[in-house]
Amino acid sequence: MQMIQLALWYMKRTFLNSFKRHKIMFICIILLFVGFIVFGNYVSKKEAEEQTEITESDQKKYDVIPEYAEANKIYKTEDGWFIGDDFGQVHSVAPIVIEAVCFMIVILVVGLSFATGAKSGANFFSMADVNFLFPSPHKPQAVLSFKMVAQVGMALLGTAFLLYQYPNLVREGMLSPLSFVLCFFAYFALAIMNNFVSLASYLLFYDHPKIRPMVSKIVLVIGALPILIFLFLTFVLKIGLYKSLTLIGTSIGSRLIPFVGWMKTCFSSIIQGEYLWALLFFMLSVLFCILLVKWIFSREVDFYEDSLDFAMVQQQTLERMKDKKKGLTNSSLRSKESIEKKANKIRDKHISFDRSPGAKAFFTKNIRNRMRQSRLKGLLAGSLIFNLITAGIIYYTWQKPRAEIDAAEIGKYDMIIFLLAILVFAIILFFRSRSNPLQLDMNVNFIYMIPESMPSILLWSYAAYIIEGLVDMSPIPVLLYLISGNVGLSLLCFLMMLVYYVYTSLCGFALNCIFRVYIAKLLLQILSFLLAGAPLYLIYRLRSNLIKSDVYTVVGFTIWLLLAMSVVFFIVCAKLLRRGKQ
Amino acid sequence: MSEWDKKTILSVENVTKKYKNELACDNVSFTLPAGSVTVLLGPNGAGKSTIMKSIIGFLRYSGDITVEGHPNKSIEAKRVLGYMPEIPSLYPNLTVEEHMEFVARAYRLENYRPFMNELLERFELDDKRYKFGDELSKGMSQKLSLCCALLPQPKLMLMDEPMIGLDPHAIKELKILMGEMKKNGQTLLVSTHIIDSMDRLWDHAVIMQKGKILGNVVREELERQGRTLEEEFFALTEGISESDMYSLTEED
Repeated sequence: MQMIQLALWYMKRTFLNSFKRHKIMFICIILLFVGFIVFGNYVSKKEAEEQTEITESDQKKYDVIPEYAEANKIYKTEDGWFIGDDFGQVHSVAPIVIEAVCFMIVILVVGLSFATGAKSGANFFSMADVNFLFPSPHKPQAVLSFKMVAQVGMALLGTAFLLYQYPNLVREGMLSPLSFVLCFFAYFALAIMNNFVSLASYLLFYDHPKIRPMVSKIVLVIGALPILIFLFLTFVLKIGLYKSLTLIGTSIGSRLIPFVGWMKTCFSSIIQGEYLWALLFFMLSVLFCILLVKWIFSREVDFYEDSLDFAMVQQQTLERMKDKKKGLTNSSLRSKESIEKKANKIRDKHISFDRSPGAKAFFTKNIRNRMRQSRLKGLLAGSLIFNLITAGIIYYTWQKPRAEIDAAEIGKYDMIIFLLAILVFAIILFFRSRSNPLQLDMNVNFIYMIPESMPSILLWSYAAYIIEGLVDMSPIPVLLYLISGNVGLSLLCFLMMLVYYVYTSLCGFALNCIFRVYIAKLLLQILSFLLAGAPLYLIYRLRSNLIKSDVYTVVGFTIWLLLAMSVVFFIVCAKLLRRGKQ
Repeated sequence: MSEWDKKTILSVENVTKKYKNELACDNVSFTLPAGSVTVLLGPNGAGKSTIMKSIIGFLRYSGDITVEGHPNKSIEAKRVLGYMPEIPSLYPNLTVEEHMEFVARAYRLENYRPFMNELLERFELDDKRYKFGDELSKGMSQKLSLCCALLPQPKLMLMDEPMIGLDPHAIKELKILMGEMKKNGQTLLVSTHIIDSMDRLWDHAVIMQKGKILGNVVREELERQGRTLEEEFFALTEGISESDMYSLTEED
């Protein structure tokens, strides 16, 4: 009990102190949240008004005529969405899709938590916890309760992201306001439970360190199994979307799986407005949760060493970040000799610093770093994977349903497909841009001593980053062209990706310049995620207006928007750095 | 009768610790008499920190460690133990004073404020009591970590390389404080590789190398032989005799 009180006191102090220290950032995040919700609400209202004005002929187009219902074709009616099966029958999409999607998401999320727990062990303590709490006169279980209470606070913060989806889910008619609130609580419960699941998996395999990595991999596969089975049924066996979804989501067996099945049914029941069922399955999940916590606390496991190991690694990473040595791992520090050899080799091959004076030195340095990291002539293994994922998404979204679309609709369809593919790629790029070398450059003091203008330094340092982006994205336009056969569109989309790449990294960098702190890392990430998502969200919300235009206009508009925002951020960055120089 | 026979507060028996295939501590055994200052000496990688972490209960090991007769991981033992880590690590969003309050709450300390204020004053943290954990320099963090470890006034204090990162004033204060702790009957186990740092304070020394104890040295006995701790250390760790030491000094 004392540890729980301590945890509550700690959380209160941390939150209040964070708020005091980062008022501006908190206000920015709240404003952005409110902005998204208000804007989303406004656009949804407009769309709803427009929909009521749909003419009789338009209405007919969406009506479902069971005799003509094609297998796997999805129809929209006034009553909602429907899907046709192989026998010419139509079924409401909502329960099938919702249940199947909920199942796939819940099992994946829980599987990931279980796998992380089994692999990484007791990874929830910081070095400060180790130093202050571990030597205190409390049982390890009591120390554990401190962290668990703190994790609940973090789960609540993570769940707050759902609020951002309010206009999409409620205004679009997918959820009633009550269902949204219940979903919020169910998701919160799931987030808390994930921490317990992770901890339980660690405690379960605590005595078997050798099999832990293997267990982690097996559980990951199990977590992804419903998705894999769905893909296999739909695309390999081609049994049809309706059958696949039914098999995956609504099978009675899936409801019986403890916690995963219950949470899935709870979510789908909330979404469908069956609140009694939702309550029943929620209570079952809570009961499971209570039993799990009881089991966790009954295990007298000495987790201090594992926690210490993890906390030390975390501490070293933090120290490196503070010392601006990010990228140099312990093993790489140990193999200093091999790095020096490699560096000499590269120095012989490539342009030297002597030939690139002033701000250009940053360009050379970053390119050289890239060459050092790469084993495939400048291409990183991670980039190849990103490209393959994007190519897969583009290929599927382009190829599969295109045949089912009327010739008149193809223009609109092309645009949606391109936007989807680009959105996926943009998200991947956004996460990749978190390791922006530019940010590291700007944290080095000597950058301010170079006798050149700040925009020039910024440009040279940034040029290397853009070249890296170009190299990483080079297979994309080729793929786009091979799939679509449209040169102009492929190039435009490539340009759009590149501009988005520049935009996300610049806004991330600007935020780092403004809030040059490490402690608010989470807040900073939330803020940069919101900023990075802002133009995409804007385009998404304006889609009903944009859809009337052709694909070139949409891509052109997006490029213009991203470019304008990038320029604004570039000016902000240069000004901030100039101030730093002074 | 040597001081080693006094009432034992800490007993380390046959402690062996392996990190994967690396033997960090090999069958280490020693005892600490209550109220003494013991130095755990050894070069880098000798296993000093491993022993400290084993005593405080952070690590799993084979062997026995007891504190006042209680297993070191028991609550009774932890009420006796205090620990100052080698690398200070603070909560970034708690102030200096809140860190002390955190420790006071964790250890259920009452009326801790006068001692807290005294510690903050002695280590020149008084004017920084509203600074946040991540705003402190490395030295300041070390001082705060030290203050937090001292706040519960433990009977047995473990200090892992306490002088590293401290400024001369803080080192002086720490040495005075160690002397006061000794006078108050508190026991200190200090790990260090800087022999001079504990020159006037130490009563006993445990010299380690490559995970093994090379010798237990009692100050009185060493002084009777007219030898210094430095000489004893090099004789045990590098096999350099007294005459070799002198010849090396003359060459210099």
